[in-house]
Amino acid sequence: MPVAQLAALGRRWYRGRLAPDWQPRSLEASQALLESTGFTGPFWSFTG
Amino acid sequence: MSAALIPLDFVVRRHLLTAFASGATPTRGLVLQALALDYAQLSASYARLAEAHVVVLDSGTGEVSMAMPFSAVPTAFRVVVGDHAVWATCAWDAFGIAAALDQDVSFTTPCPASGAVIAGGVRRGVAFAPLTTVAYVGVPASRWWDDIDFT
Repeated sequence: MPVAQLAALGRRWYRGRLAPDWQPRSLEASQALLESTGFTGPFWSFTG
Repeated sequence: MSAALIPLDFVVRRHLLTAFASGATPTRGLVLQALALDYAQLSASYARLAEAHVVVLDSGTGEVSMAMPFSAVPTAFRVVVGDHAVWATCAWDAFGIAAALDQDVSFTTPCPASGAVIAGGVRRGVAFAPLTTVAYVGVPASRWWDDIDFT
């Protein structure tokens, strides 16, 4: 994948990770985040 | 990612991440002392956090080896944050450290294919790396946690 896309994923995945009100992200939310960053298809599916 | 976390786990997690972010390596002994916990309390918390995929524990020592995006052990991604450096678990996490800390970062890493040094990072909130750089993910998402050290 282009590094710019990877950087965008890193930014979105980890934003707020040290925030005092952090809560774990659900699998569904993580999947949605991947898809909205352009990571779609079976390879990027948590459920296979 | 189904483990139920209790309030203590959030305290432990935040302490771990804050320590890693400062460049420290939070061993069990240091965490026990800092949070005034007993060994059983911390072990149970580590187990819940690992079950929830919030941290990864070393199978031999039981120490935290990863608290994503930070790694407790040296990797190919040494990330400079301000006046110190931390280890990222991978390229994804090297960029993620900037977001987690809301700070600019820079890192270098050897290209797995050519060995050439790649410089990347985030400057004034904008990611940079050589335009020709590509990242390779070899494990499908459904299997990331089969062997997270390999992933």
